[in-house]
Amino acid sequence: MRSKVFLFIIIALLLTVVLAACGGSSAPEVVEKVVKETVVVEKEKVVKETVVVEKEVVKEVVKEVVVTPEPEAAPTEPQKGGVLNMSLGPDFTTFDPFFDVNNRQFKPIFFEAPIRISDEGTFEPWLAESWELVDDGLAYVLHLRKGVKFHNGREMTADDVVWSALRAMDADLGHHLSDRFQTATGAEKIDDYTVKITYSVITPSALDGIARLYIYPQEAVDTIEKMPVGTGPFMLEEWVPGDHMVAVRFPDYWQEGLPYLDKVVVKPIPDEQSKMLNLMAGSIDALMGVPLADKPLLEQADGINVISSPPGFNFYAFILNINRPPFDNPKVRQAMNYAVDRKKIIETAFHGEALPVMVPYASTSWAFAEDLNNFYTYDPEKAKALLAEAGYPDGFKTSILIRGASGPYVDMAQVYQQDLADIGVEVELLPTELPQYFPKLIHSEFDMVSHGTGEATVDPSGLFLGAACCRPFRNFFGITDNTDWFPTYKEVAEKAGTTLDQDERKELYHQALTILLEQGWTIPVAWNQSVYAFNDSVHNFRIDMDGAIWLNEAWVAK
Amino acid sequence: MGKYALRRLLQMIPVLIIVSILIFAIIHLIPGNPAQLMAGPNATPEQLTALNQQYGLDKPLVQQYFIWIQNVLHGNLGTSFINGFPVGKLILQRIPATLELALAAAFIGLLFSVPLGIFSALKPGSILDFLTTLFSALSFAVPSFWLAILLVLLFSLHFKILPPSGRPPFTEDPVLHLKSLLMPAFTLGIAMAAKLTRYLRSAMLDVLDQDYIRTARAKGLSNSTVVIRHALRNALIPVITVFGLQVGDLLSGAIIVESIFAWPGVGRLTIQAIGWRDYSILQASVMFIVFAFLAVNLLTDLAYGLINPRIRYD
Repeated sequence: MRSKVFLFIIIALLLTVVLAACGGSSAPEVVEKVVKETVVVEKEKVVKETVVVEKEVVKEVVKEVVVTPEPEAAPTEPQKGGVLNMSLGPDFTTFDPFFDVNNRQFKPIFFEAPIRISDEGTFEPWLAESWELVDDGLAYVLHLRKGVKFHNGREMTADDVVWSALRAMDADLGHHLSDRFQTATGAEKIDDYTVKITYSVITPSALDGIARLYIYPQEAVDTIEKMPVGTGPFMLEEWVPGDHMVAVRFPDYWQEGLPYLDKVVVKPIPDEQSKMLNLMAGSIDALMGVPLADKPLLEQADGINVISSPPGFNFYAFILNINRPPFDNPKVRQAMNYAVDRKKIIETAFHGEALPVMVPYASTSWAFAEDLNNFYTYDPEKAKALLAEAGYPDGFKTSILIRGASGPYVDMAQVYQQDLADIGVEVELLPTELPQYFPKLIHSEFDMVSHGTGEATVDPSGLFLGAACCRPFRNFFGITDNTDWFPTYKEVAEKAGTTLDQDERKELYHQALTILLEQGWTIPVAWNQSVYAFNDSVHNFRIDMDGAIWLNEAWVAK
Repeated sequence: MGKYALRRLLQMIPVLIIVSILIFAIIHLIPGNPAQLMAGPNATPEQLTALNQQYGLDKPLVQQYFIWIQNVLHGNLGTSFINGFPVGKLILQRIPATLELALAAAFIGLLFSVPLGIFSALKPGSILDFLTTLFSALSFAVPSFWLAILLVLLFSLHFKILPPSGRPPFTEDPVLHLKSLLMPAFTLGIAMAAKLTRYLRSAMLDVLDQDYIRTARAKGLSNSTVVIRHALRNALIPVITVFGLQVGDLLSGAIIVESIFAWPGVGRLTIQAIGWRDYSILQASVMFIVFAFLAVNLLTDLAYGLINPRIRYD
């Protein structure tokens, strides 16, 4: 009898625990619902009303980046000293600034370039005080700042910039920066503080390349992967892979009085939940990579600020292989575009925390085409009609090769699969780990992919001649083989790159973008923005459009 | 026993050789090329060829194996594809963290399981026995990552008495170091305790039923002498086997716990290496895991002789 009573008590306790666990988990849901209600109202406005509203939303995001929210009673004068503890996620792989791999966002801590991209998407002087376009637009002359020192004590001169530039142009070295210097033909020293970089054709995206031309001394090249030597505000003190990286203030930094921080400590915390808990517990002050599902939780936490990099560079997209039927038929491609419910994908796969995209470059760009921003709306009836016209009244079967085995690419593909089922297209999902994904992508072994694309350039020529087009060894989607419309597109896009008249270029890009959207092989879904969070003690934590971190003016309140 | 130990150590060598061939073959059979991954999708075919040549990936597999073995015998475990660091250095850096976590978890596991196992066996059907069974069942059922996050929420966020992650060097701050060890070791130790408690309880129940225990009690020996000197020692043999296997498991790296607590151990390194197809790290770390298992196996066998002197080694 006694044991039966105890059994009853234990079972009751267990049930209580289970109920408490279930009940406990609903509390965050309630919070999420509240957040989602307000977000939905705003987002409905974005979809149904004019583009002008959308632009405002985008601009607000840009402003968020520049202004660091500060609590009322907190100090407003920068304080010298202090340590910033950060986590970026996985560990560094190399410090060579010409490579875009793990934690490329950290480059501005150690390295700098002649110019810098501002938050408004313009270029501002950095290691170069001024620059001009010469030789009918075929060369840039950079006037370098005097007295800028490298971490090894030597002064930076034109020789260093020339060496870095020539290294950047060398595609055989296998780094990623050479992509931005494809049309560059050389670099020469005019005098100790003046450099001329020449190009074979007018290259409107030249300044985008120069903005990523991180200058480092030739003598450091053999050890640059493990020991970054640049002109940046911090120098590497210690790197224990997998454990921590410590950067200390560079005492001879060229900006007087900067940086404020004594040290920056970066710890790799691979687990995203753990990263957030570390921030909330105060053992780190800032982190990169907030999972979108947790963004509302962090935004509501006391003393935590969340910011996103401005949209305009990379976006999530489905991309079709136009060499594979039925995607060789433009009507089918258009049908695939009409079938995607961006609002639903953002609400579910991105937890309401992303911005939809149609025109694949920043709305702050001078070339932005507002009238094309709603080229495709969610219209399953129209999609079905187009399929019927194309000869597929009962739909067809296809597959989506997904970048990665989990994450946003998988989530958005799952939602799209449902949308496609509504128009009769049966889709098999193929989540694929990166080591197997890339070879399949490169050899065009797919019907369509769930992928990310875009071009990290301020000037739209980067996108039109880059990701959307013409690099021969990147023709995974069969674009450059096409003989119907691609030659026209290429002609228009290239012409837009040969003139410097902005109005003429804007018109030409409008034409090129219309062709791209009509042909619809890339189905843009949502902007891919880097999300950062930091606590109230951190000030002037700046993220640029690349998602790169600038700490030269950052400070922590003690 | 010394000769036996030496013989076992020598027997490890052919095992390790066979295992090295198997590991090498399996790792290279996994689809995906590390050079492609390093170069990214935007590399030219020439850049890819250059990378393949640089890392010797273009040579025949057999040749690559012998080159690797030769290097290993000269003490060179290769360099990591991920960050160019010498693999030996990377793994050596991680071994102390893994060892420390494994030992601490084992200690906590024993701390819970031995008394619970003994007392629940001494009083089967009692409240303590029921609670012990419940504890075991819960610990089995609760996923380690959930428990880990819960501990962090409680002790780091709410009570703010333990650091949420990391492993500060012992020499810099021994107290903080030990505090950082507590939660990950507890997470793993509890999982271990769940299994060990059950094994110990059933082994004890078996032994306590034996005639010699009845004799010992009849002789008038104290309860503690009967239980610990006689019953426990005999019950320990199967338990030590399970314990050995679990410690081997821990040494292979508690990957989830290492991720959540950012504990820089071998497990986390291995998982990263798999994602990057970093053959050098993978080969070396899997060999380390195998060696660790074999060593723990040997220690377990030697322990049998200590516990039960009837076990002789020829």
